[in-house]
Amino acid sequence: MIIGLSHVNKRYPGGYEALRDVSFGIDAGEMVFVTGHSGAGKTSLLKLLPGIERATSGTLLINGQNIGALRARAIPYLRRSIGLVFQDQKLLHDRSVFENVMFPLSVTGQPPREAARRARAALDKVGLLEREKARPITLSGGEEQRLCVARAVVNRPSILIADEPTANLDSDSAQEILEIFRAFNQVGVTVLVATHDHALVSRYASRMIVLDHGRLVS
Amino acid sequence: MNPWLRHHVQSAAASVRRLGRAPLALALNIVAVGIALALPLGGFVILENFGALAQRVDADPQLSVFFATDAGKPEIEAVEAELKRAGGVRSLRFVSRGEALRAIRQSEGIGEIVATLKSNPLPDAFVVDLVPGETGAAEQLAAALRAMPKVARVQFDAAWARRVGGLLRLGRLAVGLLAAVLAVGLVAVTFNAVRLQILTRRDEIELAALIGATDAYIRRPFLYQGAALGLLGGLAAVAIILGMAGLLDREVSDVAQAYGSEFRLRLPPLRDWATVLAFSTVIGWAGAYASVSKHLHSVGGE
Repeated sequence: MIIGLSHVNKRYPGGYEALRDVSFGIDAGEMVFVTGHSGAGKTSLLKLLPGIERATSGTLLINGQNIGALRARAIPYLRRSIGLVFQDQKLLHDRSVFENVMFPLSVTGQPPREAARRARAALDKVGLLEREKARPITLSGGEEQRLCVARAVVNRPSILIADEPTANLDSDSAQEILEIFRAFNQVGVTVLVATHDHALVSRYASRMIVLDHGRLVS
Repeated sequence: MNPWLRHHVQSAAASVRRLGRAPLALALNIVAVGIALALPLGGFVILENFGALAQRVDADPQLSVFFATDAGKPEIEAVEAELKRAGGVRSLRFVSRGEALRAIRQSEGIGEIVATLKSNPLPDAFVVDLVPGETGAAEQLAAALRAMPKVARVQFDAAWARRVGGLLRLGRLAVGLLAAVLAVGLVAVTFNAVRLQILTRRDEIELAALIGATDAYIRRPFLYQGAALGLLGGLAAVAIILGMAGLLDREVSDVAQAYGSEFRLRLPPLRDWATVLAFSTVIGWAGAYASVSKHLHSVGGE
């Protein structure tokens, strides 16, 4: 089990309960969709895993590490083992496509030559290699999202977490993104994708975690 | 090169580039830091010069005994015996009236006036070097000498030396306090300069934190910026002081020459300048550290 949640609660200041008594496990190499209406707690759940937020109660294990007990200075190293695709993308618009993918590699201190090689390999996998000099602003919605995926996987994480990666995309582009995720899953990456688009993901045979008002329903 | 060292080099290079990208803001910050540093530094230089002037009196207290013009050999010998008996006397020199007149004839300005005199108006005198720090004993000695026959005047500058010493201590304390207050101001200036840099790169910092950058990694380029700003401000302060000293030096030596003195404006030794630069660099670094820490705190480490 690479991700394990046991009786996890998340309550925000003000009393709003985003997650109530959520327990589940994900094995290494699985591809899992987290679905539910907006406000069901998907984003909260995904923020707990890389330690962006902390659970109010319950235990959360990633790679055998108890996230709740992790010290603040250990959090960066946890995050390096997880590739994140953010709901709001967080692309750096003052840099080229290539430099955006290089960014995580400079954070982890890869030698420049090796970093450039890896960045190009990641861009190649998402089909953006010929756009490496472009600015993110000139990319289409689907291309932007693929760039986010390339940036998330460039450090070769064992877990890939994506929050609404297909929102605002037409169905073809959305399909493309999901295919890319599946390709990574097939080489052994554990993939966790949150989406409200139940219809889109129901075509996949993957396991689904359905949240409703912070509770796990299936 | 190892990754840690490489990031240091990259951070340093990038922060210099970033500083250069906003030359006006950089110049204003350097001027602000420079002037804030130049104030206590200038005060320090002035005090040191004042101290150097006063030191002759301060370190080597002197007592002069002037005889009445009709004093004879027995009275002079009595005083000499008294001086040799007293403690606290380091050396003793008798200046006869003739000697005194010769010396004064050689000095600038007054020489011609003295040459016109028909008789020698100067008295015999003893010039006594005292052991420093024994003001009480010296004052007693002065009182005893005054009571002796044919002693016209005993001059002892203890009160003046004490006052100068007190003023110097007060001045040093004031400059020290000024430096402490301005150090806080300097931290504030670099804090703010770095905060502006942080705000323009907020997205990048947030992303870096989310994908596993350590706080130290995020801080590093800003620390270099703060330190660079401090160093450049320190250099500006040194330039301000050297420029002012250059302007003042000629005036000072002109005035000193008019009084027949070789006094020149003294500048602190190289080591003191280096200390100033190190201090301003550390202050800049500290301001940047506080600024980034506050930002990291507000975005939340978790």
